[in-house]
Amino acid sequence: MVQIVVSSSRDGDPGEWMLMELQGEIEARREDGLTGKLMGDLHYTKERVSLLIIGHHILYGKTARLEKPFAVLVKTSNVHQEEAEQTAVETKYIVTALIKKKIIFKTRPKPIITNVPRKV
Amino acid sequence: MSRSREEVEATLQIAKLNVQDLRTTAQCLAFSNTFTSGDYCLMELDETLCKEIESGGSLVIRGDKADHAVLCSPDKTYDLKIADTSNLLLFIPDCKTPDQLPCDQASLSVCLCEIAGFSNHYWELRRCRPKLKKLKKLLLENPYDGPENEQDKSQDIVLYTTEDLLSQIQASSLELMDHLKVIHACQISGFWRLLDFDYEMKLLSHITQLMDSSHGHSAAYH
Repeated sequence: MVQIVVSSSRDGDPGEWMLMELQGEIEARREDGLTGKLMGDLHYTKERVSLLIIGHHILYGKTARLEKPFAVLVKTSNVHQEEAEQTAVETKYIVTALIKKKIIFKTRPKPIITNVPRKV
Repeated sequence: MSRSREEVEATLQIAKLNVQDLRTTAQCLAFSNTFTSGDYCLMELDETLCKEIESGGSLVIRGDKADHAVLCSPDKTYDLKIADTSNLLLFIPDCKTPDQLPCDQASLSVCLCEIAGFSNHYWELRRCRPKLKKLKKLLLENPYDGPENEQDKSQDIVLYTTEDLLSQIQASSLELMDHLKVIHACQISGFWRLLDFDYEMKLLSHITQLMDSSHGHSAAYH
């Protein structure tokens, strides 16, 4: 049977990250992946409404505290050399961060209309 | 990859949003250079498990290839299940909530936040009973029937310490220790043993004989 330990790294308290929940999918404009690209601007109104501008859309959402916090886990595997040429693989999950709050965007994105042609 | 204040203000203008209605810090989100879904996984916790992790404690996932995996805290056992969500979950390390941002700046300030990763599923924990039937079965492999019989046994017999049991049984430490008490296991030379039935009866009768003989003395004085 396997025993896999889940704990935060030795450096101490895991940090706290934010979760953003979006409906649907995000695609890169050109099909060259998302890595390193800008996604959008996140604003908050004075009434604490969250506003996300992605491409030609605005999404409205809100921040909320999670009833059940999440742990963000990263899997690590260490290979140990044991006696008689046996190697054991020790797998661990490190808790990189905890997530206690999220911003959730539930409403349909509102398109930003530019260059509306003027009626002649 | 960065955005200037002017670029952000221009976007707001195109979107016909009034800067006056907004708080004065904008967070520009960008996918990190190592953005993937593969490296991170999300596990749902409860308050107690969260505190356990924050205080430097650990949780242990236990299971065989044939078992459903369980997660154990020091005193409880949980079933581990994967839950899918139809929504996209993004993890953003430095993103701040409205209350964490200063609200009295004169003009718009822009800060860049990297999105570390994403997922569309997470591990769900559901409290369950520890799987303890195996414990008695393991200890019945070699019941203890007296020190004289220990030498006779072959070298290949397997005996279990507490650590050995924890690596075989899907239960938390506390639940395991409690059940060892329930089944009347004893620790002999560091190994957990169940007493062989006949041996246990022999011991009981020795004890009752001893008690009878000492009572016998006091009875004589009545």
